[in-house]
Amino acid sequence: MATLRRRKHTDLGVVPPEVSAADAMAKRADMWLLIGGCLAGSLFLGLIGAPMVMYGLWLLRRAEKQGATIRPWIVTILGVWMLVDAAANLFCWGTDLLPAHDTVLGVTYWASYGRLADGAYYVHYNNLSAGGSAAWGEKPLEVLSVLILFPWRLAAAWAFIKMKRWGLQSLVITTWMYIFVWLAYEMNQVMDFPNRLGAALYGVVGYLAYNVFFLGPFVLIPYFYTVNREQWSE
Amino acid sequence: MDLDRPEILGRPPEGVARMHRVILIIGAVTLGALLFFTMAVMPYFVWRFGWGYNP
Repeated sequence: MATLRRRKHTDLGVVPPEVSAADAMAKRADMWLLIGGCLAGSLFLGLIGAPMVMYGLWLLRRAEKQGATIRPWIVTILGVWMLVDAAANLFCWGTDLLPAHDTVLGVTYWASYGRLADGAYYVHYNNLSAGGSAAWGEKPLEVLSVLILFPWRLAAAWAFIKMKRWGLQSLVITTWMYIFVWLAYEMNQVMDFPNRLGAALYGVVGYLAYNVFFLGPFVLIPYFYTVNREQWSE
Repeated sequence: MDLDRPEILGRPPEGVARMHRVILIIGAVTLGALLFFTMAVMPYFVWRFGWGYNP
């Protein structure tokens, strides 16, 4: 609301120029967050993307100090977290689902990941008709996630950051969907234990370590249901 | 902190505000870990197994 009021004043030329410059800086910071988040989420370009995200956060902080009216920091932090997480699941799992699994980059990434954390990504890799992981149960989840869930969630995270109501609503829906996918994925892991966790170097410990990143949905659900939704009014 | 700025949020009840602070801390820590992971994962794989690893 405050942002909207300020924007109107800016149109009328009431707000001093330094405030407009700060608002422009905040807008620029958002672009760094979006592009950096997507690059970081690709995992292959994380070395470029992650510093871009950090620069975006620093720029936003500077804009705030110079007088820009910005959204609450909790929205920025949670939104960027969801953005990077959705991009990681979308782009990375996408390389296993699509023909990128035949490239040297794809094979290097997935075989290494499989050897360390999940045997389904190196035992008989690229040996099914669909290519990629040889675990049958993984493919339906990949199609669901790469074609529906994570593109939606990526867009929702961005809209959430931009304080759009549909972004908040879509994040709530995709958070529940994420939990469903995660549970199905866990069942696959457990039922095919010898070929998956049992065939990985880090085994159950590695599994527990990377599951930290799946904390997101569980943390966010109480937030979504207690926050004042009227803030998302853009 | 922004949660204490009533002109932006309205005032949430104290218990909710505390929970939001905890969620913010968890989010910030996990985002940091995730960014570090995205930077480290590919170089680590190449260092550990080599480029083109396909057992």
